[in-house]
Amino acid sequence: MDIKTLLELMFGLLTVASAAWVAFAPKLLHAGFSLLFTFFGVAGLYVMLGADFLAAVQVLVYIGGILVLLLFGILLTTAMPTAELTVGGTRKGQGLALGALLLGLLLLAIFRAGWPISENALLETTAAQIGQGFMTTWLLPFEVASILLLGAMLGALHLARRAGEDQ
Amino acid sequence: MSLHFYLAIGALLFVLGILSMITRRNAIALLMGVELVLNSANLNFVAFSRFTQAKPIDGQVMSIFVIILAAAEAAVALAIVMNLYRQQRSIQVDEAHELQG
Repeated sequence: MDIKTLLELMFGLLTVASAAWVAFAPKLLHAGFSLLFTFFGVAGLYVMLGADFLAAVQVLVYIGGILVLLLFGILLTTAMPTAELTVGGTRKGQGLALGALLLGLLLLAIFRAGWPISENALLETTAAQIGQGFMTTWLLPFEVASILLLGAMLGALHLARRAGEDQ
Repeated sequence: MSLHFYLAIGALLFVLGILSMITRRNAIALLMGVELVLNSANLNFVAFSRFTQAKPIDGQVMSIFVIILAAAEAAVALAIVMNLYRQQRSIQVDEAHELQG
């Protein structure tokens, strides 16, 4: 087994194990910190797939941005002493059964389908190609995304403002 | 590793995200489930662009757009959660059944 396969297995295991802890951890803060390892594992898998720029974006945006936002959200809303984190009893069983069914269906589809597999040559500089793509082929979606981000920022500011601060 | 390995990891992430969305009661735990699902979709995009005849950069560009959407979604959703917490002192989703502010 060469080192690349070993690394892929390691990152895959890290991703799946920490994602399972995100889904089943009894404490919300533990789930939040476990999400850090999931994002990191996915970034590692991106590197293994030859998408180095995307891995950097994953670490910057997900770990540096979204995860910090989620952790702030957890810390700001902890004053709920009696709140239960998960649904209980039969409903949890139903959820687990549904999840197992979905997983079986997906794995069946993945391994039975005849994918047209052909390993592409690794790109040397993904950042340059992605940048050129944004300025040529993907220019319109790129601009729309920037307007979306502006709208989301203004909307989040408006929503998070306390009532009565309108003036 | 082949395409199947990455697709299986993506499927596991997707199912764990869905499980997190349907068994959690806390709104922020639900958001974590959404992030897991988006990550699994991204992983599939990148794996397909690496292992099939598609242009190799297209999947990565698509993943970046998904990450942009995820960032916008997280910001707006957390603002809504904060609003809910301010009004009800609770972010349990099954207690938030009134649409009128």
